Amino acid sequence: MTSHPRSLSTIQNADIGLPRWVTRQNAQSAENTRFFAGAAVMKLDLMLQGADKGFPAALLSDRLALGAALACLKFEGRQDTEQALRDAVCLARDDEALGPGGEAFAFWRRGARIDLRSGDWADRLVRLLPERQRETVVMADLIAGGADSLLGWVAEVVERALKTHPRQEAMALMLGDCVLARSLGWPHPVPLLAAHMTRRDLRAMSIRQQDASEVVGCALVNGSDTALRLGDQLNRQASRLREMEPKLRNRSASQAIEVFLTHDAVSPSGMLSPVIRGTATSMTDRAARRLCDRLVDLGVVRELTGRATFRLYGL
Amino acid sequence: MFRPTLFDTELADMPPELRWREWMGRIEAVIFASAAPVPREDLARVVGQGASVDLLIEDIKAELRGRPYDLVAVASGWMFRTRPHYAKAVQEAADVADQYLDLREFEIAVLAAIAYHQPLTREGLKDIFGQEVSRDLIARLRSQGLVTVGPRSPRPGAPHTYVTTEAFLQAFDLQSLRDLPEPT
Repeated sequence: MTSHPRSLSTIQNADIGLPRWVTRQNAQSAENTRFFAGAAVMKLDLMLQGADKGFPAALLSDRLALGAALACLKFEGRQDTEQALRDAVCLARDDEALGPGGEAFAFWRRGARIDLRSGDWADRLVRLLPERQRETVVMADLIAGGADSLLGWVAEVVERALKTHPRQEAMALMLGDCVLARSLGWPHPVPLLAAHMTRRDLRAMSIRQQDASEVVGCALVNGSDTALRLGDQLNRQASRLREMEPKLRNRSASQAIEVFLTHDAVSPSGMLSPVIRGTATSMTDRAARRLCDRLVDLGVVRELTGRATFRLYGL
Repeated sequence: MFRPTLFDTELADMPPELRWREWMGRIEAVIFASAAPVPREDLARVVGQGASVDLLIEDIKAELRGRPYDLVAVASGWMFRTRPHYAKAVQEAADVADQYLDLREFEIAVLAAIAYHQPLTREGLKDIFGQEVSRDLIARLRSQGLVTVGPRSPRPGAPHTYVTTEAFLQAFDLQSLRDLPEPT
């Protein structure tokens, strides 16, 4: 087994992401990788626990899902852009196909909403796969644990899934995220691993050229760092957005704000009108557009596309 | 009192051996009569509650050994397929390529462009081919179930994009879009 030092991301501000002693240098040894991964997950756990205090965990996961989908499309040799994935899921109507990019994003965002506390979480994950792939997946075999450590188990699950289903990287990495989250008592998986893996990492794992727990451990450190920074940023933006609610003088404002706090991007015409998504509250197209414009004026929401039409808004 | 006759799937009055044969016959007949692959749920409807469709199909396949065709599982169900050994003979006797999908060269090219660049609008196709791709041509691909409507493109007029379908993968015997040959 060859092992070369794997670089961990370098960061400046230790208050937000991971402390510098975690990310400053190459891990140098498998032992260090495990140690740093534990530290990384610990800090992330503390952040996610703030969920009762209004931490926008769903929004964080949704945005991380977008990054994970992009990474998985790259494994397939596709060159979709973030914008294209957003457009697909926001602009397609219920009866329209999403296309490969949109489907990848839909897989990750639906996966990130699975309730891991329910007994059938693994079946729900299977149901997100394309029909033709469902029959071949035996979840119980894939998530069976034999490793003596948590990181070892997550790595084992990813490695095994890649080996039995070599072309379903997304499923393998999502399973790793699920097993980790479940073991830590998180209610939903947080997409951490996929965006920090390369095609080479996956190959090295599937031919056992490199120790899977080292590859997964590094992805976990870097994934946690990304999640911490993004989470911190979204948390601040979310509380500012909530503070603006009284200024909006709109009866449905709190429900509309909830959509912003749970979705990567919001299309006023599809997700706020004719009814606000997830509610029975109706809102006219005009009111939805006005609300979005107002939120942009107040500086709490951004227009994400730079287009004059088919605009999408988000934190 | 008049009652519609219910289709008897259980065949309780038959001896087990005969019953099994009748079920096998039904499954074979249903697949034979269908133009499209038959999903397992549909097959399960013509046999008894406890009967395993998979075991029945295995028995049918065993009987077909030595025959020039076989029963195969494709993405959406079961279908008959001639064995590869006879491909030449079938091609010789009938203009199969035309009969199967009836795709002309340009249609294949359009289909390939959609497969590689999906989601793709007609405008996008025009950029690729340097000429207008008619709505009729796309309608033909759609009616053959090879492409379907994807998300709208965020441009003036909100044109629809087109994407390939499961049937497309099946028709070209691909497991996923990754099996498309590398474009040269």
